[in-house]
Amino acid sequence: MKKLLHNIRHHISIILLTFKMTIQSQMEYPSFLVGWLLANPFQFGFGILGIFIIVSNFGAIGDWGFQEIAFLYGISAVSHGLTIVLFIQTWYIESSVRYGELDRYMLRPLGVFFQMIPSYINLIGFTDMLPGLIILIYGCIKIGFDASFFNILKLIITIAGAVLIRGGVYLFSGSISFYTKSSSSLIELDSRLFDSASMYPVSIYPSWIQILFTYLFPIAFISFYSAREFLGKTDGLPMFGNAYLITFLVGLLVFFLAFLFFKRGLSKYESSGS
Amino acid sequence: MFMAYRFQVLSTVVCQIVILSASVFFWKAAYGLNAVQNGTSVEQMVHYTILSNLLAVFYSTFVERNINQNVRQGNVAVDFIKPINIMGFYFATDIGIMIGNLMFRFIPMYIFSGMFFGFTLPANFFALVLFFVSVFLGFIILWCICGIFGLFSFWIIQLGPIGGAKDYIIRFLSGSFVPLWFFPEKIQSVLNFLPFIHIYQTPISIYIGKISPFQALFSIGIQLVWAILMLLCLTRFQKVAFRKVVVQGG
Amino acid sequence: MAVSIEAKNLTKDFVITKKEPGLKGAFKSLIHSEKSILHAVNNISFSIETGQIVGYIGPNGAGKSTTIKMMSGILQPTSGEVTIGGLSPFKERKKVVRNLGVVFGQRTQLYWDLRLGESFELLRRIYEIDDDTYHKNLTVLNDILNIQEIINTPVRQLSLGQRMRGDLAAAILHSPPVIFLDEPTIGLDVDVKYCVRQFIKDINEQYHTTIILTTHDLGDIEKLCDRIIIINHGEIIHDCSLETLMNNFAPDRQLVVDLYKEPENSVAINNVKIIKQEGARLWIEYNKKETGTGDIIESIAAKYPIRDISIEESKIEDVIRKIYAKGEIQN
Repeated sequence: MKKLLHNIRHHISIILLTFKMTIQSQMEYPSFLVGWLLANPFQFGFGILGIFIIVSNFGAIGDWGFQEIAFLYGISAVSHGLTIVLFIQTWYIESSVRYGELDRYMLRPLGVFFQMIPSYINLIGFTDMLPGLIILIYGCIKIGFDASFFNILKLIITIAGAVLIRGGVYLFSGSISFYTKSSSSLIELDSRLFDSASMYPVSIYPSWIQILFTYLFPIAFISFYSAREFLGKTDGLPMFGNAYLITFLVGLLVFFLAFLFFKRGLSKYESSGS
Repeated sequence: MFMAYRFQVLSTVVCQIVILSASVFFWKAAYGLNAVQNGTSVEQMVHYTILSNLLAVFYSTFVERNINQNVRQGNVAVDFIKPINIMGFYFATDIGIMIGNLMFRFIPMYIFSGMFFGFTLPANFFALVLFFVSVFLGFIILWCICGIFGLFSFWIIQLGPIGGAKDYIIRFLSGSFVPLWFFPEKIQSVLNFLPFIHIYQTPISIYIGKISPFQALFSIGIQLVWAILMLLCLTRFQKVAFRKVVVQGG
Repeated sequence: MAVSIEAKNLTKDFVITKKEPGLKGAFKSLIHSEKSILHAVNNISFSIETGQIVGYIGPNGAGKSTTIKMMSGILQPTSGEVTIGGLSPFKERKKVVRNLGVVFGQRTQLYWDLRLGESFELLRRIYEIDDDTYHKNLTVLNDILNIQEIINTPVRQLSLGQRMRGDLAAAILHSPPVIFLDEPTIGLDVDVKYCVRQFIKDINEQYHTTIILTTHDLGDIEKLCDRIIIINHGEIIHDCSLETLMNNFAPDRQLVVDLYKEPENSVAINNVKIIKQEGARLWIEYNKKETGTGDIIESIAAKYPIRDISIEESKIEDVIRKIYAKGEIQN
């Protein structure tokens, strides 16, 4: 027990130190940070502006009005930003394997997964999160979101689940590089799929796509089911139980499976050395 | 190596198909039970968005990345002593890539979208010819914008994220996601006087018959003026940028 | 002496997929690909005592790096086992690497984006090095490697020599009893090379550290190693001290004698084998164990006045090349 506590403290202290150093080294290129700070709002700003223009012509998309879509879009964008903050390293498993950085991780008395993924917190990811947060707050205000403690907790659990789903899928794709040494194009595909399945209501798609995105490749959980529950809507596939809890559980499951796949890939690396 | 490349191409195409399908379903949902909105039918709009996605995978503007890379690695001086026009070389490279894009991306995606959402055919043969001319001029405009942007590398070494911002601006202002006729009128009249709509909206409108052949000729005339203007800007700016190298050394 | 590292029948096989060239080959390999097994390390055994400096040498692709990787827990052995301080690096990776310092000459272990000092801080946190040890080690390192000069430089801006100094320092910051150095002097200039060798010697003397060194620079071996293990085609072909190796493979020595006067006809002396004569200079070859150098000089001096002499030992490079070449013939 004492050892476990010591271990946890040890790992947290490493995360904090790495974070401090990451901030320092990223501050050495301020233009880069400012560049992202300028560029990211364009992506999300134009995305939501486009939806606004369309909705003001048509009145709604499916059953969803602009403010409702803004709420959904906000959840999706915030979870995207947080994923970039916490799990961006999953995008670089390929280069770690290819350029032998993995060997360096194995020479340290810490877990490889820990060193590779959570020990690095990406400051630039916050520039992704900021526009999302603004859109989410706008959406919350406009839909009359009851900001009770329990509701905010539900929203946080939803976003945590969404981050786990995104991170898990990225981790899975990244781990493929243990076998094929090439996963970057897959990561790109994941991002596109996330956007398509979480920035608009999934109910606009034919039901077979909805089933696919719910049961096989459960990225509809990133934003749709929870947002629908908060908004009291009923379109799309029926779902039992509390959507925010299911979202979180799906997130845990996806991430856990991806973690197992990562472990398997790593042991394959250990035995083949390539 | 070959298989790895094929895997890459395949997943990029799948990626583009996902975006294309999502935007089709999005428009269908927006139209809902309405058949026509702002003078555009749901079929026209579906064709519009498919063509816009196809053009996006067809256009190639590596010029920006090439300039940026060369400046960063300090190869500019080397390029200078080569007995070729370096911008011309970049242009030829992009044209070559576009021929590849046509075969490996455009055609497979066209077939896919045709099978799932119906083949998009031009309003008439004349429109098809005008469409090709318009696409070519649109590409020149886009290519010049990216070239000018790439030349900024001579002053700002890391273009990185700002390049992404520029792409979002172009895609939005060119009507590639939402056509201009859905925009508020005041914004429309401003955007009509900018070159961006001629990159996506003008050629696509000609293809789907949103504008008549006579109007199309007129639009192509404006495109031509823009293309010439942009080319002049590019060559002028290129001289300024290259002079900077001569003065300061690569 | 306590045994520090022990390998028993250590083996590592790699499955290699044969690829045929061209488009046709690419498709063919999709359906059916020929596989062959490469014995990168084949049934090797050795044991290394605490405090030894061992040179682990062999031609490119002999299996050196594969062995180092198995010893440091990066690769899983196909069969056999290796232990460091009694523990298997593969089964108990974290425990073993805590007491291990590894330097790859070709690749830095430092954090590319950080300043060298920050890298050290992070390592200090990772290995949980207490303040006393940390500062003491840093002082020692500073004396030998002059770390203070580069401690505030970002790693990516370090020159190769500076980077190697940083890498060496980082590898022993946590006072590991065992160090693996994989080509630590590759690409370094004479000065830094000298510095690195001095460092290895000092660390070994001060801390009684066990060191395994792979290198292509036989100067390293000559200056540092008590013992050399030569590996070729995954098998150990020699394991002995440098002296023994030289005595066995190059028992002969050359004596060059300059005479005052050019002899009129060719020189012949009993029991002395003259292999070449050019003007007033003679080249003599003899077995250093059987014949005393003094005796030869004496017999020559009896007949011809000697102006100068020099002794040429066989070069270690030539010996090693001979050994490698022999390995090629056998296989």
